[in-house]
Amino acid sequence: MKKTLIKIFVLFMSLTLIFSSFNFSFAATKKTSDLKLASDWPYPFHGNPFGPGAVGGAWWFVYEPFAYYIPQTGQYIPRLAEKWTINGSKLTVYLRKNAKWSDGRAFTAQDVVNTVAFIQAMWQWPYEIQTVRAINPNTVEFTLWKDAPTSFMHTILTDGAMGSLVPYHVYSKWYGQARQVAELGKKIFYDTQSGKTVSDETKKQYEKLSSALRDQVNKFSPYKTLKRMPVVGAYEPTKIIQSEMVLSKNKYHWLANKNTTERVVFRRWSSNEFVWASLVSGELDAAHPNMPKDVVEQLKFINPNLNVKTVSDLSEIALIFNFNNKLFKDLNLRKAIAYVIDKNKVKDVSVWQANPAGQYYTGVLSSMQSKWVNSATLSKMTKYTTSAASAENILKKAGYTKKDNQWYTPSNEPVEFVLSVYGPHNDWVLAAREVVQQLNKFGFKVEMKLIPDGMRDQVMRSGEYECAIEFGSAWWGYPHPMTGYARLYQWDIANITAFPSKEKFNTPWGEYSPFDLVEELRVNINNSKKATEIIQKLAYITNEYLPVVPLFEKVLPIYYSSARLTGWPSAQDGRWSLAPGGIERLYNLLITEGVLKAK
Amino acid sequence: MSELRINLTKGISLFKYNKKAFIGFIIILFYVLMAIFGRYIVPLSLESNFSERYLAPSLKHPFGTDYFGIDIFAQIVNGARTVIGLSMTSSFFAVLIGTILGILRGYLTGKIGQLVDAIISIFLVIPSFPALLIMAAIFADSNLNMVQISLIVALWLWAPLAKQVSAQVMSIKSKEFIEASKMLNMPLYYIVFKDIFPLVAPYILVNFAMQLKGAMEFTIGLMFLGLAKFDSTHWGIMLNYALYQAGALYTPRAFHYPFFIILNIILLIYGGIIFAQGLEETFNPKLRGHE
Amino acid sequence: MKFILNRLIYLLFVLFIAISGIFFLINKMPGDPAYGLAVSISQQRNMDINKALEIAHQMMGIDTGEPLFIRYVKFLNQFIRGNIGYSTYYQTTVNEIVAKSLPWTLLVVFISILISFIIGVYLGAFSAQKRGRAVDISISFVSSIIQAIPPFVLAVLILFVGAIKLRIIPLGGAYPVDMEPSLSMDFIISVIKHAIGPIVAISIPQIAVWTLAMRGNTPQIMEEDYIRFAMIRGVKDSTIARKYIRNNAILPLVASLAIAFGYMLGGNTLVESIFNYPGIGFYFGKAIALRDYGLLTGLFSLIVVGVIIATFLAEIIYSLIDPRVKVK
Repeated sequence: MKKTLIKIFVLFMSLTLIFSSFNFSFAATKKTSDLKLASDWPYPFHGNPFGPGAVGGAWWFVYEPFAYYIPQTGQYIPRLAEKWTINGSKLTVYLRKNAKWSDGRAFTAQDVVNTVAFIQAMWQWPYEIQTVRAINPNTVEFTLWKDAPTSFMHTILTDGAMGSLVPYHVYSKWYGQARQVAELGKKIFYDTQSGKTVSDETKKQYEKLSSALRDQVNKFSPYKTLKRMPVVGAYEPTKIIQSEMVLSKNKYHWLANKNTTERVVFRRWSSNEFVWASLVSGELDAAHPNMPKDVVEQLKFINPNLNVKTVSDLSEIALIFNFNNKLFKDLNLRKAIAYVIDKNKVKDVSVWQANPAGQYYTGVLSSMQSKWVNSATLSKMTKYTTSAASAENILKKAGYTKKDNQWYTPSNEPVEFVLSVYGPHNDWVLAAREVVQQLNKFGFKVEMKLIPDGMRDQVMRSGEYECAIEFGSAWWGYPHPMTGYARLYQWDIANITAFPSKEKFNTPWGEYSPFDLVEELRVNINNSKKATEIIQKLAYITNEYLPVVPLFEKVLPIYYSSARLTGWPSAQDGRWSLAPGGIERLYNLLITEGVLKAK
Repeated sequence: MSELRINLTKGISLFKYNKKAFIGFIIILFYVLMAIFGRYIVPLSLESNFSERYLAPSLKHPFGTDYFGIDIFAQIVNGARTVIGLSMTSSFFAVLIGTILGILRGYLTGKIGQLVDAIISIFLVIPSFPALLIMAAIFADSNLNMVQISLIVALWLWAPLAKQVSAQVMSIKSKEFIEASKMLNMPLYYIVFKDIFPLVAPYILVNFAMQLKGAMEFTIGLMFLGLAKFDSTHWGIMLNYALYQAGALYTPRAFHYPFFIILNIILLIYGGIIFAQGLEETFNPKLRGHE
Repeated sequence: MKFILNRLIYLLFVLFIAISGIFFLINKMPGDPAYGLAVSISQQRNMDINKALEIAHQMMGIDTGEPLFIRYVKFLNQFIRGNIGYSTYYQTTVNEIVAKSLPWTLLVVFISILISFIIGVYLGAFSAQKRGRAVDISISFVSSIIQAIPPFVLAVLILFVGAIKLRIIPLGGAYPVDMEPSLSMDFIISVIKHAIGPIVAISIPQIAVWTLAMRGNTPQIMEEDYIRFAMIRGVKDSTIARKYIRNNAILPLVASLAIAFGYMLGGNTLVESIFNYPGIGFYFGKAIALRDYGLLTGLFSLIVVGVIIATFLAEIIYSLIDPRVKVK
């Protein structure tokens, strides 16, 4: 026994010796023309956009939208489209003639038609597109459904899924089926929307057809059957292991001559600490993890090549209320809470780089407020500067009383409630902790409760909370106040908080229901004068009736290293604003145009 | 053989013979007193002050301040309550279940013995931490009290102890004095409590200290999952903030932040371990013989 | 032989109860498995979450109507055929996922167990021999302290010191993506280099555990009759220490190896995520967060099967080296 043990021990020691004699440098993986990033992707990899997890962080490198939209400048950068024209409900897109799939096939209008049929069949979206037609190999014409908002033109142009998701020559055998499902789905949708009843038979037939298609397409893996994944974007996934993913340059891409970056290499984003460590040791060229202030300073000290640019993430974090709870139905209490919370302190401990919420809670992101809400409107509104005194005044006027540092409602019940927060979102937990502390100090009895991993939806939708930390206004998809207001008054927030958004609220311009105002705004979105007028009313209602109390505007801190790369844009450059909702778009734009390249 | 049957109270007097047990006892006593009286002596203010973060240890802040600018010492003292409370109850239950089932398994034979053995084996083979996470998700909304939470934690902690205790009992039960008791027709409880229990007691104590560590890890997990009431002064939560949220390892001037938290965790568990070791040496004459 | 057969039947019974328990426990979990997908759909397409959830359900083919018992019978039926489940999120069999990730976890766990067991046993025996002396006191002092350190702290510390400060361990992965898996020396070395971080992080606390266990076991053996006989026979002290005491003190530890193996399989999730190591821990975390019941049940069952096999092997080895077990 002992002899074997000794043998194993000796073997182990000698192995250790062998390793220590090797040069432990990181030179092995260093290639000068790589762009190294951190992301997530499904593994086992399939290369099917409809498969689980799709293609992960490779999305914007492998799929091209018709154009990129730069929110800061309002400018469109043509990608797959050379140009486009809008005529009423028709959008005509002229495709780039020199765009090719990475296997050398030409990219044509047929691919776009195919893609739209597939996504309508597989995702039941976007039914806003009533028809899509190939006029010639390089021209496609989209016709919007009569009730579709005109802002949907923007979605067609900028959504990565719209043009190049499904190469016709790879998926053609399901095209007929997909088309059939899509048409039937659209018919059911339009009929339902216009109040007609759809027969159960039609519904059953739809279920049958769509599940037959889904079963086949979901299981398809181009990466396994074709051994490759033909893409129209600048990079094709070529080698994927669980911890790393390599994308190689598509030599047929129309910008391939300008682009000098041969590969994009992803590291798995397994934890924030891992990304920090990778950034410090120069293993990544760019990443956007949340990092505490002192860590950032220290990183810059250890790795002086690191720079940081923060851009608005186009969403705000807010305190939301359950309006089924008697306590929060009282506007006075919500106003008092708005006065008590010290937004700057919350921001400091939660995400130090964030933009603190401004003094007006208009529902327009604070970084965009000056562009959309005019000063005349602001002068009519309550200004929420942190002040315990103001909060006390409001409460006392409303009949609340304070005994032994504890507030009581007019009906003499203690003001006590539980603040729920989603546990896995660290920054939210930190914000909640600070809010609870501030409210307790003021004399409310507040406890904090964490929502377990995977349970956020369950808790929020079932209304099993009293108040919570959530995304407030958010401009995901279409960066416009309309998107934020729709979220507050029609969609998620209205649903989970039960805020009475269909009731009429008093404003200096008369009585309005925010729900109707959002509808009106959607119709008039391209009429900038009318839209601005409606936004003033919505801003007023949001500020005075407080469906949510915003805490801070989320930002995306982009850490980028100039150690191996040159050409990062200056801090003022509008292209940074392309990052929210798809940071890889920014990197893709920079490297394909040859702006960002190896030193 | 009667020498072996020293009961626990008499054992305390042996402190003067065993320094280890004495030191361990003092450490544990210190933290228990901290848990009971600490919050009356050291008041806690959780008011954050970002500009005063990471202040080095000083007279005002004996352990310095954390990322939020809050005094670390005050948090440690006030957090002792949940740490000691929740973890100790959990490990107490785990030891209780483990001991009872372990002795039963070791002593009983036949069908019932096998049944107990199967129960132990089932809990042994199921990976405990993931199972606990699932339990946490199931009970997340049921507002459990501390005892119930401790029981859930204990449910996934007791099995290894039971297995070890049963092995001990099996080796003891063939000893002469047990055979003697059996021949004298002593009742079962007498054999179990007077003959067997004193022999396995030190072993159980050692495990109590080890369970404490497991219980602490588990309760931290439960707090993050929302089952246990979130207490930001629980040492485990503090440590998690220090390493993950505040990234204190990357910040040289924040060295004291994780250091003092880890120091206290280690000291408490170390106190438990050497107390148990000391007792084992005191009670087990085989060990004393080799001192 | 009869002993082995008995144990086998018994362990199969335990396996059955354990996986049944797991199945029902997991299916009692609240939460919607389609939620994660629905959130990304609703953000991407600017859509109401309820609508997105409906679509997500259809995309994932989740049939919530089927009675639990039917699903249980189906699960058992597949399990017996060696299919441990189907992942609703990854839309593939759990077997495929396991095939890609389990080898890495096993590599780390096996090497860690081997290293920690050998070092722990030697240190423990050495310490027991020198009981009461300075060496013994310092060994047990250090082991006790190491045992008190929370394991994730150790992992973060090793990553920080090893990969950032000293740069002696590579960051993340099981091997660099530019390397083709093969049996070449280069590849093997690279694999071991990448495994060092997790191995060290798992081994250090385990070494302490084995050291203390061995140290605690040794004195009891010293009192056994055969040691006394050996002493009376005049066998040399060093021989007694090596051949009789150490070898016999290892015996009970062999039995707990199986438990340690199971504990490490399920317990190194955090370590794997800190080192970004591609083992099954990664999928464990995903499965819980995404409420992927199929994957979760599959991974759990896999670990249970692993531990049971390990227990069985340990029992056989035990019965081979310790003749007394057979007699019973």
